[in-house]
Amino acid sequence: MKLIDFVIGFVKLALKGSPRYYAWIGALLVLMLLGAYTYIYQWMNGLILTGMRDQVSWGFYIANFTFLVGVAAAAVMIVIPAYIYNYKLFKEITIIGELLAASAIIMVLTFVVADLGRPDRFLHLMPFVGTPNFPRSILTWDVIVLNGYLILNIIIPGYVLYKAFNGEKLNRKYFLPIVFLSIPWAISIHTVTAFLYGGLGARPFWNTAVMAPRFLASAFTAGPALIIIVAQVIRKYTNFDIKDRAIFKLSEIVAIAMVVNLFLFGSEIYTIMYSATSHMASLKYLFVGLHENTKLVAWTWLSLIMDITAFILLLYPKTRKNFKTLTLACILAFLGVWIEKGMGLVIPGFIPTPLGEVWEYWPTFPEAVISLAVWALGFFVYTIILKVAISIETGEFRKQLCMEECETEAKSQEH
Amino acid sequence: MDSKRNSMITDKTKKTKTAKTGTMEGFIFILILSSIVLSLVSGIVYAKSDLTSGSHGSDGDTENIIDGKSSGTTGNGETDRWFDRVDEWTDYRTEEPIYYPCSRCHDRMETNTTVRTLKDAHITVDLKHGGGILWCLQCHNADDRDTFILYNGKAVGFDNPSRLCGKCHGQIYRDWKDGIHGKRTGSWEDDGEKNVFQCIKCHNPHDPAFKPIEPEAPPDEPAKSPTVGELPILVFLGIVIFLGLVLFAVRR
Amino acid sequence: MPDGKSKITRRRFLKKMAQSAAIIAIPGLPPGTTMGEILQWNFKEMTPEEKREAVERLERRYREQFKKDVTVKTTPAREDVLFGYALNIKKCIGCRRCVYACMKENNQSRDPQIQWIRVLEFEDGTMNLEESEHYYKPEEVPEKGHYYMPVQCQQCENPPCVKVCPVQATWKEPDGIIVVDYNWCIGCRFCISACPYWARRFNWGVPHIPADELNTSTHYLGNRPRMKGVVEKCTFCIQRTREKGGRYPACLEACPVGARKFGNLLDPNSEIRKVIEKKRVFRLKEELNTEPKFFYFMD
Repeated sequence: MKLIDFVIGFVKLALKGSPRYYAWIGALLVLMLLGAYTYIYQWMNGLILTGMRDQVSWGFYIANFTFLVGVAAAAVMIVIPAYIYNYKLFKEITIIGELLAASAIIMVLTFVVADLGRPDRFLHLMPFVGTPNFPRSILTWDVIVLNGYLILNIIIPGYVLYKAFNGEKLNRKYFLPIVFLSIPWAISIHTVTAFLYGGLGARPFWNTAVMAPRFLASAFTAGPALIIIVAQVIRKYTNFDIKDRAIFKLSEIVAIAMVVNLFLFGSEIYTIMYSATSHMASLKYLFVGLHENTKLVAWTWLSLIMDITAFILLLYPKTRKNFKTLTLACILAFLGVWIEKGMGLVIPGFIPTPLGEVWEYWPTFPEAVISLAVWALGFFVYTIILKVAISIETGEFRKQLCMEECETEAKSQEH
Repeated sequence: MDSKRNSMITDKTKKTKTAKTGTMEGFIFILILSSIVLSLVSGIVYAKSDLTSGSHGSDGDTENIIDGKSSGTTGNGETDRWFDRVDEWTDYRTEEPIYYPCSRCHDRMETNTTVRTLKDAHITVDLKHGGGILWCLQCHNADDRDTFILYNGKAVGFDNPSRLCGKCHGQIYRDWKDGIHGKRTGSWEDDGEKNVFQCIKCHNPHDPAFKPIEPEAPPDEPAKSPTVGELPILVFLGIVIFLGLVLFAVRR
Repeated sequence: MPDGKSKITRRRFLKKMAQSAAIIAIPGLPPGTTMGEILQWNFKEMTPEEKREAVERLERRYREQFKKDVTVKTTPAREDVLFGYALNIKKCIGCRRCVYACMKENNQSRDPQIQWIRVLEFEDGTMNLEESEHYYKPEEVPEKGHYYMPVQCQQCENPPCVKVCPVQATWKEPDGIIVVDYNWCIGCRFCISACPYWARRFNWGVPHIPADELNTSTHYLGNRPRMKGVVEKCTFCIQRTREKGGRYPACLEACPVGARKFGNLLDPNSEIRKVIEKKRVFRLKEELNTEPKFFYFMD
C-alpha cells in the first residue's frame, strides 16, 4: 500500500544520514537518556525532587510548557499569509513552521506529563475511559486543543509530503479546509492556555484580560524567530532553497509582534503600578524583589533588555537585513520571551501565596535535567522529520529510494 | 442603692454571745454599748463601701484573656490540664476532689460579712476577679455556703455554677447557652450527645482570665528535595559527550 | 456523555479486570496495589458494589502497609444537612492545637509535613494578608497586640477548585463538603492554583505516617492514608461528622478556648445558625463570590 511504503521510506530516510546528522542526533539522545534516568527518580520519589512546594505549585516544567505552546502556535504566522493571502514566498516554508508546531506540541505534552503527580492516571482525562470535566474545566479544553493541533500538524505536512513522495498533486478540496481549520486552531491553543491563567480569580497577577493577547504577541515573536534560525541552518546544510526575502519578511513579523508584546507588557505594568493595590506585590517580586527574595530580578531585567534590543535590531533595515545581527536579534527575542513568558509569568502568580506568604522557588538540578531532556526530545523529533521532509521536497528522497530500488532492479535484470 | 450594699447591710449579722454579767444593769449597759458600737461600725463600713463603683472593667470578663502573670493558683506549665478535665467535681488547680458541702464547716461558724482579705482560711484563693470590686460573698451565699447567691436572693447550687456567672456576664451566659461561647465536644446535632463545658472548666472563678500558653510548633519550612547523588557526574559526562558530538557535527 | 451501551461493555471489562486481586508490583506505586485499584472508576460515578470492592481493596492494602486494621467508610451525605463552620477570631489565641489535632485525626503525612490548617498572626489594626506571619514562634500566645486567624478549606458553595479539575476528581457533596477521590486525581495541581485560600495540599513525596499514630477509622473521601502525587485538604472531618450521632470535627474539639463552632446550616436551631444570626460574621475574600461556608466572627 502506498501509505505503508511512505512510512517505511520515511523510517529508512530517518535512519540514514551523514556523520554530522548522526552526531547531532546522538548528542540529543545523550540528553534524552539523562532525562529518562532522572525521571525514574522523580517517578519513584514524587515531585519532591523538584523545587516546587505547596506555596509555588507550578514551576519550571509549566513555565516551559507555557512558552512552547506559543512557539507551536507560531506556525500559523506563516500559514496565514501563505494560504489566505496566497503569499507565494511563504508557501515554500510553511512546512518548516508546521513541523516546528508538531515538535513543539510534542514538547508541550511531554512537559505536562513530566509535571503530573500521577502520569499513570492520564487516561482519566480521556472520554469513555475517564471522566473529563468538559466543558467546565479549561484544562480539559487545553488537552483537546493541544492534541487536536498535534494531529492537524501531523496530517497537514504528512499529507503534503505523502503526495510529494508519490509525485502526485494535492487534493485541494479536502486539504484546504483542514489548513484553514488549523489557523483558528493555532490561535485557540494559545488562547486556551492563556485562559488557564486568566480565569483564576485567586491569582490577581494572572486574572487579567490582557493575558491572551500577551500570549499571542509573544508567540508570534518567539516562533518566527526560531524559524528564521532554523531556516538559516537548513540553507547551510541542505539543498532546500529559502529565499532571503522570505526570511526578511518573517523578521518583520517578529519585529511587529515584539513591539506589540512590549506594549501589552507595558500596559500591564502601568495598570498594576498606578492603581498600586496590594496586587502589585507579584510585579514587585519580578522587578525589585519581595522581602529580600530577588532570584528573578536579574532575569526579568535581562529579558526586558533582550526584548528591546531585539526590537531595535529588527526595526532598522540595516541590522535586520544583515544576517549576523538578524540571528542575534532572533536569539535575543527567543530567549527574552522564554524568560518573560516562562518563569517570569508562572512564578510571580504564586508569590505571594493567596494567604500572603512569600516563599521563593528555584528549579532543582533534576528538574533542570529533565527539562533539558524534553527540549532535546523536541529538537530530536524536529530534526528527523525536517530532514525527511526536506529530502522529499528537494526530490532527494525519491532519488535515494530509486537508487536502492534501481540497484535491485538492475541486479535482477542481470540474472 | 446598690443591691450589693443592700445585701451586706441586711444580711443577718449574728450577734455576739453576751458574756455572763453579775447584775442586770451591767447586762443592759453592755447591750446598749454593743448596739452603739455596731451601728458605728456599720455606718463606717457603709460609708467606705460607697467609694468606687466605677466600671466593671475588662478583667472580670472572659474576652481579653491576657491579664498579667499567673498567680500560681492555676496552670503549672502543663498545657493540656485545663482542657482535658473530666466532668466531675475536682479542684481545677490540683485535680483533687473538692470536699464539700461547705456547710460542714460554715454551719459551725459565725458569718462575718465584713469585706476583708481572708487570713485564717482559703488563703490559696487569690481573688483576681472583678478588678477589686468583688469579694467572696458577692458570689457565695452568706446564708448557705453550699450555694451561690443571685441578686434577687435566689440561691444557685453547685451543680449549676454557670448560672452564677450569668449574674454579671449576662450576654456571655446567653451565648454560652446558645453554644456560641465556650467549648463543647461530642455531637453537632441538636439532640445529639453533647458535652457542654461548664464555665469553670475553663475559667477559674477566682482568677478567670486565661493565661497565655505555649503555642505548638510552627509549620516546617517546605521540605528540602532529596539529592540524587550520582546525577551531577552523569550530567557532566553527558554534557561533555553532547558538546563533543555537536562540535563534530558543526565542524564537519 | 457516553452512550449506555459502551458504558456497559466498558464496565463489564473493567469489572473483570478489577476483580483480579493480582498485586501489581509496579515500582513507585504503594506496595500491595492491585490491578483492581489501578482500574477502578471515579468514586462519584461508582455503583454501590464498585464502592464496596474499592473499600475492600483499600482495607486489605492498608492492613499490609500499616499492620493494623483500618476501616474505610463510604458514609454518604445526610439529607437536609449542609455543614457550616464559624471561628471566633476574638477568642483564638493562636496556640495551633487545632493544626496538630487535625494532623492526627486525618492521617496527614509527618514527613514531608502536611498541615491542612494554617494559622495566621496579624497585628492589631490590619487584616492585610501580606503582612501576616505564618511562622510565629513566641514563648506564649496570644502575643500582645496581635490576633490570630486559622485558615483551612472554606468548603465554598461556588468552589473554583471544582471548576478547574480536568478529571472531576474533586466535587461538592450534597452536604456541602468538597471532597477529593485520591485514586482518581492525576496530580496536575490546577486546583491548588485556583484556590483563593491556599487550602489544598499536594503530596510532593511519598507520605509517611508512623503506624502507631495512624487513625484507623477512616472515610474513603476523607482521612484514609493517601499516596504520592495526589491533592488533599480539610473535609470537615467527614469520617466524624457524617456518622450517626454526628461528631464535631477534631479541630473544634481540640480548641482550648472554644473558638470554633460547627453545625448544620439548614437547622435553624443549630449553633452555627445562632452564630450567624447573633454575631457579626464575615468571610474571607467574599468579593471572589466563592460563597465559603466557613465564617469568621468576633464577639
